[in-house]
Amino acid sequence: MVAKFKTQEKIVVNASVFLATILLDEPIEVRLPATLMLARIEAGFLEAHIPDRFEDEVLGGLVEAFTKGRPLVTTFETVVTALEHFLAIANVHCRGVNWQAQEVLKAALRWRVSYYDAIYLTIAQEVSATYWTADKKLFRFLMRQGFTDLPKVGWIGSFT
Amino acid sequence: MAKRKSQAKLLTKDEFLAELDRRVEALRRGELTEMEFAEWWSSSLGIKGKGILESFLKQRELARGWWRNSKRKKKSS
Repeated sequence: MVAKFKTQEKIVVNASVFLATILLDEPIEVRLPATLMLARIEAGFLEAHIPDRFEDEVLGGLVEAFTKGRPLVTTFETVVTALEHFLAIANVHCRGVNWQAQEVLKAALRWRVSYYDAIYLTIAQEVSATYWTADKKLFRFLMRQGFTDLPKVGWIGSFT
Repeated sequence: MAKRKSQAKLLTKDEFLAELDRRVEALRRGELTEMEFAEWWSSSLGIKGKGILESFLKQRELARGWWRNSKRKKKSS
């Protein structure tokens, strides 16, 4: 019998976390927690929320990886299939529907982050989720600033 | 012979998808650990990215604007 979970923890996942799961030369302390998080999302134990630009960010990274890097055990088509599988189970938030550019602009200026970071943070705030990123510098900066209206933020290396 | 060995590991798109569905179902049922899933994921989708994650994060950093504070050079008089 399939286990049923009454409540799922909500998370917003940065594109860097998905990329970390397939890049073998990333440190294991980043790659492993990222892949464990992905496993929990795939199994339905975590509820993932992402912006519509997530797909473009990952695909951009993949093109660079396949151009500069060296695929060892996969093809571009298979990685894109894995991405599509993830997108099908994640809650995708679309610009103009679920998030507004003006709202994100204000958030970026208030929290002193990039527009792109602010998209993820705004979604995390709206759905009361924890925002997970592989960006340690951003994580440290936000922790130092101590904004009271910021959603919970986590660095993927600390995910257990 | 060594070259053929590495090529034999490649999964097709459909093979990968079927295996992914099977493993996700096993995860849900508790018949597969997250660690086992993670090992399979890495062994099926591994790419040597040559620092592309760092480059990805660097682009984000540049878009923030405050990165310049740490790069500012002292004036030499």
